Amino acid sequence: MTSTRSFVALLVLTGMAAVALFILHLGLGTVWIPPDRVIGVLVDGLADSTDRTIVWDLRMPRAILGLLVGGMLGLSGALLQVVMRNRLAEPGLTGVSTGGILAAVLFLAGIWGLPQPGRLLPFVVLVGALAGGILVLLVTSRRGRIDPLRMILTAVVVNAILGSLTAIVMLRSNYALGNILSWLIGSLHGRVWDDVWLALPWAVVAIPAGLLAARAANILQLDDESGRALGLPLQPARVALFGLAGVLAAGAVTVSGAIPFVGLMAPNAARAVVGADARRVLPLAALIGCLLLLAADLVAQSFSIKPPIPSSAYRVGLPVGAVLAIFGAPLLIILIRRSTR
Amino acid sequence: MSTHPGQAATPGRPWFLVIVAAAILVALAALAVVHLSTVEPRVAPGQLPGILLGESGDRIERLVVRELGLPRLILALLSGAALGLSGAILQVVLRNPLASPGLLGVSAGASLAMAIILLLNAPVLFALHPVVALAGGLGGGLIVLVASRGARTPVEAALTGVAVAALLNGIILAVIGLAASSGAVRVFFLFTVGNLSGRTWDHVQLVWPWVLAGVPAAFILARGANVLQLDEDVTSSLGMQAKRMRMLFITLAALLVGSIVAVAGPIAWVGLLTPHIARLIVPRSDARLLFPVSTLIGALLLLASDVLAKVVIYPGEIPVGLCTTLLAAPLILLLLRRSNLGLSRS
Repeated sequence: MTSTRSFVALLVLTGMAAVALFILHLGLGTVWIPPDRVIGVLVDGLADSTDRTIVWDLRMPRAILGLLVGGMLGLSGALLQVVMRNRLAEPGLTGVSTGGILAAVLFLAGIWGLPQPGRLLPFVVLVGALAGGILVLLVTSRRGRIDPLRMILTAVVVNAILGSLTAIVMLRSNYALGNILSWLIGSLHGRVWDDVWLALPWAVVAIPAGLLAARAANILQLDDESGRALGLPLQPARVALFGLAGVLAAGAVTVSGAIPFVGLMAPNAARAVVGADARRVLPLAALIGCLLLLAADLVAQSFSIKPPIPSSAYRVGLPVGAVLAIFGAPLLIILIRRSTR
Repeated sequence: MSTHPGQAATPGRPWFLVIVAAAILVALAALAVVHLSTVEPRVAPGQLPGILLGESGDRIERLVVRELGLPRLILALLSGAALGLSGAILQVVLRNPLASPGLLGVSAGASLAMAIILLLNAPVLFALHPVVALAGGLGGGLIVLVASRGARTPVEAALTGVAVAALLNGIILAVIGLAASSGAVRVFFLFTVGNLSGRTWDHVQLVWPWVLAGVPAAFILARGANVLQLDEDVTSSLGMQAKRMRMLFITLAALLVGSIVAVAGPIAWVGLLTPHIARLIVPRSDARLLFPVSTLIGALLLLASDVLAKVVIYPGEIPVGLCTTLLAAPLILLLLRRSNLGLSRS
């Protein structure tokens, strides 16, 4: 994969796959609407009004969020892997997931004695996520000198503290643990247009910004001397890219909870296909993120299972995080193995 | 990983290391006494020798100290040592400061076994839970080993481990999703946090052979780990040999923690944090020093955490896995602020 033309072809192909998945996603549900009718609804809007209600009011928000969240997580992970020079880095390291989760758990456990209207939860999570990200960034850059290793270490430590606090709150609260856990796993289930409006501003600002940072990202991948020689102010660049990754992840966590694995897998898959050049990895990672999350959500939505437990008569959908890991992990292993270095 | 200019490796200071090792041992002994005397009901430290030797103390004191206090102490020491060493092995061999026993598939495998037992009500005798968890953990480890057999670079091996662990965790999530309404989730969650409460000699029986065989093996093989720390060019010129050596170490790390995870649950963060503390003490990243120091610090960290777990909200208890983080994390931040030692290499 060396020529620009084949890379563009790859991008177009991935994009087309995402569009196809998107249309399929809109059609799938309790009532199956075939793709031609979905396209009809999308294009002229004059189609059968039941179809229109189902597609626009019920399924569109979830599908759009699948695209947005997947793209944000993929790009966030790709940026972090560059900044930290570590291919195990993932969006959770920015502290926004653990921060958001801690806020959510505190809120759900009712420790603040608030009434618990569900619509308030995303805002609580957003505040927690931003606080977690800022905390990691502050501790990381405390002494002015920021290097990838120090960043990793402090990020891990701060996340460890936030994660433990979350576990303590969860164990001490009487609120049904299962409910909290199922939120932690991350899901796009039951999302509405309000959630889209909540995530959209972040995506619109941060995704282009992240893609534009590719040149700086490329320089940060080099060793420090070369970076300095090329005239990039390393510290501000690192903080900026780290912050950008945090903002992207915060937008995602706010609407969908802590969806695992996309942010780790998408950039690694992209790298396995196009090599290390950030100008190619960043957009491709974002697109692969979209694809992955949409596909996983499609599976999660369509595979509702009757649990093998005597007491439950209802059917349960699989959490999208579980689907992602179960199908994504083998794919990642194959991709890594296939990649030519 | 990265090297910083102006931070050339500090010359070795053997006396410094001897003092550190001695200090850790003294601290271990002191903490062991505190740990033993904080059984329920409490026993005065001065009485301990008598109770242990069977010369003094009433029947209940002897029973509590010998049958509950002592096995838990030994488990804390063995678990901490094994987790710390396992983390150090992985970070050295995979050359990644984010490597931890979590990517061995062992924790995820053991957790999956427990999830099936606890959440899906599989008919397994309570006494056999750790054995089934051990089987699950070793199974998870085996999957990682087989999957990463063809890995050419440390990053490939690490990513494969992460992917397999994610796969197993995904299955656990699915199981939780299916059974989220049942109260068993709480019991399962307690397992995944890591817990030493109420462990007995039966649990020690399951753990000690692995640790006592694995720790010396790692020390003896430490020279080989040093080779794997060298440049990728050097190790890849060693070819097959480097790959085999890497697999050997990953296997060793998995065998070290398998029984621990089965008995105490996947105690979070010890394996990840301990080597970083050790590296701040050991000036150079020499595995022959790093492995023993990580072993000692792991044991110290977990023992101190378990003391905290027992006393902080007395008469209640906190799961030890949570105390570990809250103890180790600020310590690392402090060490990081005070020195640049050890950051010269990872």
